[in-house]
Formats: sequence, structure tokens, C-alpha cells
Amino acid sequence: MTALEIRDAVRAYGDLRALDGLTLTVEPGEIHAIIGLNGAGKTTAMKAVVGQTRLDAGEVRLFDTPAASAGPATLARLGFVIDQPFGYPELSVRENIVHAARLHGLPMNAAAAAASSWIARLELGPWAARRARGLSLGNRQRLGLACVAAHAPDLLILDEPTNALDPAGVLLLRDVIVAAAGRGAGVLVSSHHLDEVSRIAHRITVVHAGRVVGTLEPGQADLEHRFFEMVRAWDEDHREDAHSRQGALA
Amino acid sequence: MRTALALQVATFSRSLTARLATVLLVVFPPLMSVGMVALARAADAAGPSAAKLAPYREGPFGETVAGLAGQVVSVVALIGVGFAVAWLVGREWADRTVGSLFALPVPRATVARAKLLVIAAWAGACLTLAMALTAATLAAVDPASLTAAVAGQLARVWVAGLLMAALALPFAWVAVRSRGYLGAAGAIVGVTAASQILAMVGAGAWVPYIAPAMWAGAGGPEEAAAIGPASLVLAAAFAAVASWASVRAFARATLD
Repeated sequence: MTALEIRDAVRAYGDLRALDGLTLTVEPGEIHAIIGLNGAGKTTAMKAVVGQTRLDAGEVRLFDTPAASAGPATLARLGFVIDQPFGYPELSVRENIVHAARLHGLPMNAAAAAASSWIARLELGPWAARRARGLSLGNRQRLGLACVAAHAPDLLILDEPTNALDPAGVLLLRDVIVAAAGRGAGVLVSSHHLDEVSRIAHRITVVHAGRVVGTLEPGQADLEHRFFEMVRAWDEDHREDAHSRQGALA
Repeated sequence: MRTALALQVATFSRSLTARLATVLLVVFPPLMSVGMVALARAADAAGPSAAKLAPYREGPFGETVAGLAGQVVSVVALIGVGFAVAWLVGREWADRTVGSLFALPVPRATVARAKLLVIAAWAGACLTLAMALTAATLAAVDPASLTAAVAGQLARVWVAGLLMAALALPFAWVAVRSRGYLGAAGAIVGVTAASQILAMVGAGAWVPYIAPAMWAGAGGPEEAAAIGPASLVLAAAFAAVASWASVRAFARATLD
């Protein structure tokens, strides 16, 4: 069973084709990183998976079920942070995690236990009773991670999860991702931190101009250089498309 | 539904908007209706205020209070409940929390229904308390004035208030379409102003946002008598259909 499959996804905003036939999969137990420049289509692809944006063409399947018709049992296996982490500013850290876990299908007792466990795991103890509005950006990001991971999802989708984290937070996040994959969950993660991605990903896909333009081998040196080479080569081969794309973005 | 309700109760009970609207709904009706009539009849009322208060100086005390309560409750129910529902729905966009409500085992339609249910229950409780306080204040100020006829009129004001509260729920639709609470706040002001104008030109009986207020005596006894059950049923039906449309809009919204 494939945890996530995006097939031939197309999404256009006026002249801009944010997704232009993008296809990728995430297998159970796999950490699949997608990297790309701003506007490459990474976030749009993730938003399409959870229904935040509708595809003009193509299909998303969650655990071999079309996402559009996925029921509660399938959706309870999903957790994601896209754009803005979960967190109501007027609720405390603990309350936010409990409500998030319940929304993801856990009963009350299990949600409360999961909240305590994740507060400890992500070192949010000093802020557990504090309202989310008083948290630093990094701690809000930790809270958001706890909110989508507390129900132990089988598919975790994380869009730029490290962008506000301090080094300690990045290490905690890495542990969470690796542990999730270790218990069999598929993880789709986008990041600009290529070194971090290279360290933990099983597969690295380069997304550019709304489509997959290649893959990079994890664990190799000089990932940035090889990434830019790949993007530049694609632009050279598709010069007209690249020009029209820059025009649409401008 | 229980999970969605728990989240909405937790967030709504902590919002400043809810607290301010609760004060508006519970305190204003008894304070304004009994207070204004008592003030109008005080011996030392003079100057420009006296002219404003002149309409409340004549007639039986209890009936005058009940008539003024009809005006006050109709307005505060629409505005107070309107702002509350605008906040509870629009905040999902303003605080950028709406994205986390996608692809959950709890459907967004259920979340939207929970929002409207919480607002409806809170509004019903507030208006019931407000009318009980109005009757109690009236009885305390002038026990003889709380006759069976006045109690019946206050009960009618209570029903009209509940109808106006139900009519405020569709501002959720505006909040969804405008992706925040500011658009809904503008709509509340617009509907309130338009209702005043339409009522002045005598077109109120078949306008959902005016008929309950007229029925409650906001335009005087003659206009109240002109409102039949069909006008009230139309107002209730409009509230029901527009609330359904609000839930549907919330469930189908995307973040493009």
C-alpha cells in the first residue's frame, strides 16, 4: 500500500501553472523530501493533498483511496503542517494538543495522555499551561508539530517544518520524523535546509516549475550545487517555459 | 459533533468578543428599557434629554417598558449575536487557523454546525436571562406594573429576540465569503442601517430583519398588530436557509 500518491497534478492560477503534471509517491516507512525554489509548487502540492486547493487535473490518493472521497478512518491516519501550524492563540499549549488529537480521532483520555507525552517529548513543559499567543515562533512550531503528531499518524506531511526552529528544535524535529518513519509512517517533508534533508531523507525529489525534474541521492556532499545544476539544466532545456513562468510570477 | 463542540466552546468562552457581546445582550435590555422609562418619569429630567425621553413619559409604566424592550432587544440581538458569529467563524481566517481544519476525521461541515450551535445556545441563554432580568427589574421598581399583559408582551419580545438572534447566524456566510470578520462586521452595520430605512418607508412586514422587531413593538402597537404569523415564518425560514448556506460555504471553502 502506498501512503500517498499524487498523480499528474495540475493547478493553474491564471497564467501560472503552479502544478504542471506533478507526480510523486510516499511509501510507508519512507521519508520523502521535496526540495525546490520558492514558487516551485511544493506547498501547492501539499495543499492539494489535504484539500486546501483543488486540482484542475490529476489525482491524490491516500492509502490507495482517492483523497476526495476519503472517510474519517482514512483521514485519522493523516497529520500535516502546511503554511501555519495548528494552534488557537487563546488556548493553552496542552489544550491545543488535546483538541487537535481529538479532532484527529483520539478519545478524550488518549488525547490527554498523548498531550502529556508530546509536551515532554518536544520539551514544551515550561509553556504547557501558557496560552499559545504568548509563545515564540519556534515554540509555536513545536506546538504545531505536537498537534499533528500526537495521534501517531501513518502519513505525516510537513511543509518547511524547520524554518523557525532553533538548533535544539531541529534536532527534536529530526527525531520525530525518524521515529515516525521507524514505526512505519510515510513522511513527506519540504525544506530549504538541504543538509538537514540529506541527513534524514530516504528519497529526495527536486520540484521545479510545478513538476518533478529529478531526484538526488541522499547523504552525498554538495547537495546545493547538484540541486542548482539540476534546476538550471531544466531551465536551459525549457527556456520558453521558464521565461513565460517568470513573466507570470512577476 | 462532541469534539467539534468542545473546541468551539473552549475558544468562544475565552474570546473578548463573546464577553463584550454577553454584556450587551444581558445588561442592555433591562438597563435601557426599565432605566430609560424610569428616567423619563423622574421629576428632574430636563433639557435636550427630556425631549428624547418624552415618548416614555406617558402611558402605563409596564407597557411602556415592554415596548422599549422590543426595540432594544431586537437591535442588540442582531448586533451582539452578529458580531459573535462573525468572530467565531471569521477568526479562522484572521488567525490563520482554518488550514488545520482540512482533511480531519471531523468534517468541516460539522465544525461549522458546532459554531452555529454554540452561538445559538449562548444567544438563547443570554436573551432568556436578559428578559428575566427585565421582568425582575420591572417588578422591583414598580411591582404593580408587571401585569399579565405586560408579561405576555415581554414573552413576545423574548421570542422576537430569539428570531433576531437566528437571523444573525447567516453573517457566518459573509465571514466565510470575505475570509475574516471585517466583512461580516460591515454586513451587520449595513443590514442594521438598511433595516431602519426600510422600516421608515413602511416596507418592514416582509423583510426578515425587520418583521420580528416590528412584531415585538419596536414600531408601536399598530405596526406590531400588522405583523402576522406568515411574516415571522418567513423570517425564521430565511434564517434557517441562510444558516444552512453558511455551513455549506464553510465546508466547501478552499485556501486558494
